[in-house]
Amino acid sequence: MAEVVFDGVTKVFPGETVALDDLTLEIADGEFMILVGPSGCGKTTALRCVAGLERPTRGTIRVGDRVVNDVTPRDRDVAMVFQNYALYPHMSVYRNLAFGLRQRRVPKAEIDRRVREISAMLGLDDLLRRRPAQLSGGQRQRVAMGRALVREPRAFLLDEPLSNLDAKLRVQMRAELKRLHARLGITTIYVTHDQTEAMTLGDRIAVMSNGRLQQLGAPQEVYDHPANLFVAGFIGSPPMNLVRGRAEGGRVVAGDLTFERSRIPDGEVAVGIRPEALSPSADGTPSFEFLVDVVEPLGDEVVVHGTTTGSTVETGAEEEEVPTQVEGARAPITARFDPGVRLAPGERLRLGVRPDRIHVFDLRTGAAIP
Amino acid sequence: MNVRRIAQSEHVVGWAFALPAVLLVVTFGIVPIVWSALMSFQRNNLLAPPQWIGLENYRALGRDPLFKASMVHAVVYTSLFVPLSVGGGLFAAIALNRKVVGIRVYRMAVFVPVVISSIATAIMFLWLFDPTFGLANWILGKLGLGPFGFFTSSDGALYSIIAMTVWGWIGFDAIIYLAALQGIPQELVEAAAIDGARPWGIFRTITLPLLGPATLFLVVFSSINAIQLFDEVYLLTNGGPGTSTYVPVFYLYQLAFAQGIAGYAAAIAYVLLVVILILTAIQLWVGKRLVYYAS
Repeated sequence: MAEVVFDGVTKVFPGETVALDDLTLEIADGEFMILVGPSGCGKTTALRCVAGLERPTRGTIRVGDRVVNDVTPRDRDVAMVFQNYALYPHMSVYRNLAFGLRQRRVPKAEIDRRVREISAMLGLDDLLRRRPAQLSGGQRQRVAMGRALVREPRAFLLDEPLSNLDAKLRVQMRAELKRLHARLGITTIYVTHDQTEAMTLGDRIAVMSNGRLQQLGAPQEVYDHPANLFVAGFIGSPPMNLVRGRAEGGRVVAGDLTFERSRIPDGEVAVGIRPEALSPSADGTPSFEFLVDVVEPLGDEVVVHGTTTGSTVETGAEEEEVPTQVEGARAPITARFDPGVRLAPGERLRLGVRPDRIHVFDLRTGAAIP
Repeated sequence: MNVRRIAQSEHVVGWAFALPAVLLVVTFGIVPIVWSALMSFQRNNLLAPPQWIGLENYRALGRDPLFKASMVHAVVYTSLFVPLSVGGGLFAAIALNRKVVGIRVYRMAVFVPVVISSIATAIMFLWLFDPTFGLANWILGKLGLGPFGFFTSSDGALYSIIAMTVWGWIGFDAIIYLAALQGIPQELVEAAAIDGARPWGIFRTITLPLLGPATLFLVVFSSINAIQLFDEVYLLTNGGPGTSTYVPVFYLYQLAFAQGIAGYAAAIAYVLLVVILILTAIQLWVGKRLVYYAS
């Protein structure tokens, strides 16, 4: 096992596409690090640079105490699980698992012992003679994991390994991955665009956008204290509600919402509120008017979509082209309530929020204002 | 009743569309196959009324030294042509499967010999391999070798034909391999590299097995092609010097159209058909055990 360090790593592809822009990141020995961000943010390129499949244009990558920029993938002693698993289709599960060990000329008896051990650990015993095409998605995923683990690598690289699984299996495999990491303690870098995976799996998460590191921290810390508008818009599902506002003399006004914030500089701001921070009753807290549009009862909670006075803020984290500007000058708002809350489309009410649960960002720089 | 009428009329229209192709296949495919099968049991010179002689033509083949010699030449030719053209095609495809400036020109250059007619190729090789003025002997002379007779030498003529046909077919094999190579997911190669395989190991354990279907196709196709060798022999050596480049199809052509012994020639054609069927069946049987198909 080893620590993995990116030191000022930049990767520029032909055509001047900057995939990584001066990335500096230290992943501790045995840590489970999540690289999360939207498509094209550079997270997979970062992983491929560690694997040796891409060479950084500038900067260095260190695995353990060795700079590996010029080391072949073979000699880096890292293992990788690809998004599509990349199982060798013409080989049986056994041969897939044994491949890396055979290439490294490990004695046959030792190969057999390790393959049997890992297949028992991952529940692959009965599948050893099958070929990948004869396996289900979950089984293939486990073989890919097994192929990486069997070599006992110094670092474990996973490129969206759960994205091809159905929702139920993904939940199972997430737990399995967490158990495996707790048991083996291998330094793991896990690339995903799924924030549930990011929040649940990692010791720390590194949020990336446009090849740059936006924020690094424990999942809850990143969720509770997003460093900038991008992170605020990207982490959290449903995402944070953002409304354009203005700060003046310690008072912030955003649409219909007004609240006090000491030591805040005057200027244009974005006001962010998590959907679960909203309450259907004002109770003396700052509040704003809300027009219910769609109600989604989910059993354990109710998600209510609607609008309020004001205009929304683009963060760059929006994954799809959704109309964020609705009904002219109204901003979309999403709220999460207890299942007992009964609301109907077309209803108007005031939503309350505790001042300490309101985030404020500088609209010009995007940075959070404490 | 109406439905039936429509069905019938669609049937008729369908056949009307297919008829030209059906007529071509029947006239130039099925009729000659059946006719030559009958001829192989006849004494037939294509002019006089044929005479039914049963298996006599087939028995006579066993006693014919020229037929045996032509079969030996076919075996030598096939066993060299197939591995050299398939192996050469694979080598060329790997060389062409990279992103370098002018790669399209290189690919075209390798494929050009396939589309050049046999006659043009033959004339070019006659010049190249001319014993006195040819470029090949000039170069070999500079290296202190030769001169060689090439097409005029009874020892070297068959091998000169092999060299020429291999050159002509490598482009075809290369294009098939190139398509197959580009169908191999890059991720597999990357996974193998991370797993610890060196370039040769990746080629041997990943690339080559995944090229299995292309290899099997090319081996079967090239073998059939080789056994049916005719054009190059006819154009370059006319079976000579002596009978050193006689091959079965050339021999049966000589018998049927130069000497008018069409019944005997038809028997050779059918022996050849059986040989091709058996060889192909063996190749497919072996291929089924060794080749991995993605589907």
